[in-house]
Amino acid sequence: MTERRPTGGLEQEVLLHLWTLGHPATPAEVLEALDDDLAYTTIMTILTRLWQKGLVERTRSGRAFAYEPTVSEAELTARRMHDSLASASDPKAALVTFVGTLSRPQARALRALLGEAQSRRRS
Amino acid sequence: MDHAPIVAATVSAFTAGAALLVPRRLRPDLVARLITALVVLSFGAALWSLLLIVAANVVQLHGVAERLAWCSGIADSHRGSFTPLGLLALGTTLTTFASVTRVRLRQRRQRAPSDGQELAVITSDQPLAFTLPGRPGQVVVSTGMLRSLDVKERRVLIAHERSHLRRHHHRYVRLTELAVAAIPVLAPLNARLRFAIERWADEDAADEIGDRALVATAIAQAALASQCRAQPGLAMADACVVERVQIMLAGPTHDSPLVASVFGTLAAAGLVGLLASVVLIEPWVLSLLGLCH
Repeated sequence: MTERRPTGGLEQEVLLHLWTLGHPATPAEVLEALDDDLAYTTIMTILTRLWQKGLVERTRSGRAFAYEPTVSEAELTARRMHDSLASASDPKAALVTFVGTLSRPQARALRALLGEAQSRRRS
Repeated sequence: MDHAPIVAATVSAFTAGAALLVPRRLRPDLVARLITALVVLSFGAALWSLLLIVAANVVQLHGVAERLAWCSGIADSHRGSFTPLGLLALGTTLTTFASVTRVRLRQRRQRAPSDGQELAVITSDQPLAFTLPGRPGQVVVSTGMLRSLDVKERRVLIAHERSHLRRHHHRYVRLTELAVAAIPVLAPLNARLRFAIERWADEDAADEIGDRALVATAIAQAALASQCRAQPGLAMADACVVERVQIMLAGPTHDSPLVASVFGTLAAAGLVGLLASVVLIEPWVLSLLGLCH
């Protein structure tokens, strides 16, 4: 499955993971989180590349560097865009969103389906 | 001349009806294309019909009619004012232009910034994921959404959103939105198109990731997370998530070439009808060809 990933996909995955952490992470921590058969040096390379692009900042943490995503101009623009869309008279019409909200019965149905999907993935 | 607006209005109703009948479970890319094509045709035919009625009234007005007297075919009678039907058509045309312009202006504001960053994360506990069209366009996700998914599910989310950008899904959404702004009775088609677009991106993600159960899980997780922290201001009742997960678990969708070609033919028939209504305004066509007497 790894080879199916588009170019830059891994870079994005690492960046997204750093965003979810909310605190600086070392390459070892990142490697542990991405449960793929990746080499430590691969993660190092990716983090360095992200740093060169200005997408992450790094601080020394013991013998390694700890990396943290930077809030770039793109993020600020996206935030502004989102705020203006959310305050629009009809936000539903404004966005192509991944998912919307659910009613209570729909949420119940969805939980049942989720259980089914997860058991299928384990089997 | 009298028949042309009727033909155009019939084409409009016919294509709108056909769009409403496009089966939900057809392959999503086909549904999206068919609905958009039919809706745009319906919109075009309705507008054309209105313009024909307005034009027929204008050329008969005193003053205008005299000036057009050199071509006997254009105005066969003179009037001091619009007919009631003409007034109605004029009013409808103006309000239609106003609402379409309003929607179009709003659409133009929703663009990705041009700094070329394909992915932007916004710090928010609210689980959000959406795409902004542009060149190259942008996928926007919130940290809340990222936290509600594991590493593999995040891969699904990104594949899904990227599909929206790669396939230019905003074009379908926007065209349909404009048509619905003009013809409010087409509103149910907006929801259907959006469902087809999401399903299309789901299928693309499933192709890319190669694991339908994983895609189903990611959609369900994201929806349940949004449920927990839904903000009233952003409440988007989305009845379709459950169905998307069900279809994803049910296995690959099958081609229905027969059904697809039936609706393709209906769209083509609508186009022919619309062209016929253009030809039907014979006196005008004749005058354009220099055949006035």
